[in-house]
Amino acid sequence: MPFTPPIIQTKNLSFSYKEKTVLNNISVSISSGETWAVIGKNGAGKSTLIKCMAGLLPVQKESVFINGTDITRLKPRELARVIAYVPQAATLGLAPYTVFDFVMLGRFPYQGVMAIPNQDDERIVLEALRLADVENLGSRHLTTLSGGEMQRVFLAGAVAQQSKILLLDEPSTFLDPLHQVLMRKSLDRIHNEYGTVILTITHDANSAISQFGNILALNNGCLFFSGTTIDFKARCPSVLEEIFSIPFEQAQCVSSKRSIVVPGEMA
Amino acid sequence: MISKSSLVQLSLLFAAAVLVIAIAPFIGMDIITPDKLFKDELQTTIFFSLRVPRVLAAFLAGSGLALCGMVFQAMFRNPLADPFTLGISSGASCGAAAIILSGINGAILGIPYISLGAFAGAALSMACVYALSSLRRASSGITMLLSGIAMSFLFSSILMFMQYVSSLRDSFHIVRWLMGGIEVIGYQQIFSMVPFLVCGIIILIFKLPELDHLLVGDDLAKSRGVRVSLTKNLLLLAATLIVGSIVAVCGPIGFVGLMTPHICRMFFKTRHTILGPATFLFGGIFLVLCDMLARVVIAPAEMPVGVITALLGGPFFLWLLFIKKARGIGLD
Repeated sequence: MPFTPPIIQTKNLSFSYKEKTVLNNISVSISSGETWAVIGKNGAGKSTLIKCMAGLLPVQKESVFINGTDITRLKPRELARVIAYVPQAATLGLAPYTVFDFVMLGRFPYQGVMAIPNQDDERIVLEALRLADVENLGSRHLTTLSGGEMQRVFLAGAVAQQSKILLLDEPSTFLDPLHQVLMRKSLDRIHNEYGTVILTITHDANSAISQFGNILALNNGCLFFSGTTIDFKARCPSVLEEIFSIPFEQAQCVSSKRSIVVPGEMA
Repeated sequence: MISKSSLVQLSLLFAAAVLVIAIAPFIGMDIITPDKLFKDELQTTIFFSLRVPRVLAAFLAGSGLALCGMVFQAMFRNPLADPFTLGISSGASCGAAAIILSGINGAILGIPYISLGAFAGAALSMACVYALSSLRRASSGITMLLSGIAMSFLFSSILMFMQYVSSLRDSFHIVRWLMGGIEVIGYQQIFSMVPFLVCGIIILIFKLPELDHLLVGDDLAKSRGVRVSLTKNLLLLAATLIVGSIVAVCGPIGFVGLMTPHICRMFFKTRHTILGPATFLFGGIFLVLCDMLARVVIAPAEMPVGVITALLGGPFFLWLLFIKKARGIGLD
C-alpha cells in the first residue's frame, strides 16, 4: 500500500505570544476520517493549537503539515480549501448580513476577484444550510438569531468551504442541552456524509469520551495524551484527575446504563 | 448571483445621481434656465467654468469620503470610524495652516500650495499612525484607532498653537479653511484630484468582497483565505489617496464620511459589493445637494458646505433612526 501522510501533523510545534510559551513541543498526527476532541484546562493552549493548525498564527517552518505539505508553504486560499475553522462565537463581530449571505462568505476561497457567486456556490450554500440544520433561517438576519442558531450558522459557513478538515473552538459551550444535541447531530451528519475530519475543543468530558473517536489532552502547553478514546477510557477517571486537577468519579445512569464521569469536590 | 431588488435599487440611485448632476449646475446665486444656455455668453461661462466643475468636485468629494467612511467602519468594526478617524483631517489642517502662516502664495501645475500642504499633512498623519501601530506587532484595529485619535489631538494642538501666534487675518483664513468648502474654479483642481481618486477607488473596488470578511472578524477572514494584513494595508493606502486628495481641494468636510455609510446600510442591508457602489452614489448625491444649498441659502453670499452637511444630515439621520425606526445599522 502506498504511504498516505496524515491529514494534519504537527512536529515539535511550539508557540509563544511575546515571552509566554503557550505550546511546547507538540507532536500529533491526525488521519483522514477521524474525529477528535481537544480537552484541557483554561489556558492549556487548546485554542492556540487549533489556530496553529488552521494557519491563523505564524508558526515555525516544518512544524505543521497538512497532507504532508508544510503549512507555511500553502497560499491562504489553498489552505482555506482544506481547513475550515469555526471560532468561539463570542469573538465575532456581528455583521448586517442574512444567513444566506453570511454562509456564502465561506465560498470565498473558490471565487474570483469580485466574489460574485455562481449557481454552484448557491447549491453548495443550500447544502451547507441543510447539513447544519438551518435551512429555514436562510433569509433571516444574523442579528435576529439566538445563540444556538448562530453557532450552527457559523458551522454552515465553515461547511460551505467544502474542506476535508473542520476545526471548532468550543462550539457547544454556551448552548442549552437542546442546541448542544442539534449541534452534535449536525457534526455527525457532516462527518458521516462527507467523511470530514472533525477536531473540536470541548470542556465537556462526557461528550469528549462518548462522541469522539480520539482524544487530545493538553496540560500547561504540553501534550498530555493523544490517542483513541478507548485507550483514554481505560485510564479513566484518573487521567481526567491529572488533566483537570480535581477528583472525578465514574457513575452509571439509571435507565440508559450509560457510564459517565462526574467531577467531585476538591479535597 | 446578486439579488434583483438590489440591482433595481442601485439603478435608481444611479439615475438619481445623473439627474442631480445634470440639474445642480442650473441652480445657484442666479438660476440659469436651459434656454439661456449658449445664448447669454456670461451665463454660459458661469455654467461651464464655474458651476459644472463645482458640481463635479462636490460629487467626487462626497462619494470618496462616503466610500472611505464605509471602508474604515468595516475594517475597524467600529460604527464611529470615519475618513478622518486616523488623524487625516487634523494632519491636513496642520499642513494647510502651515502654508497659510508661511505666507507663500502660488501654485504648481494649477494646484495651490495650500492644497499641497494639506495633502502632505494628511499623508504624514496616516504614515505616523501606520508606523506607530506596526511598532506593536499585533496591529489590532483598536491600537490603530487609538493612535489615530492621539495623532489627531497632537495635530490639533499644533494647529491651535499656530492659530494663537498668527495674525487675525491668517487666523480667520485658517478657520475658514477648516469649515470646508468646494470653491473650485475651473477644471484644474479636479484634474489634480482625479488621478489619486481613480487609483484609490480601483483598489477599493477589488477589495470590496474582503470587507465583508473583515467586518466579521480577522481570524475568520484569515481562515477563509483572505490575506488580512495585505488587504488592510491596501485599503489604508487607497483611503489615504482618496481622502488626502479630497481634503486638499475641499478642506475637511465633516459628516458625509461618518453618516452616509450608515444611511446606506439601513437601506442596503447587504454585502459590500452592493453597499460600496450604493454608498459611492449616495455620498456624491448628498454632497452635491448640500453644496447647492450652500450656494443658495444666503445668496449672494455663500455658506461653507461643511456647515450644511451636518445641519441637513444630522436631523435626517435622527429621523431615519427614531421616527422611521430604520433597523440594521448592523454595526451596533
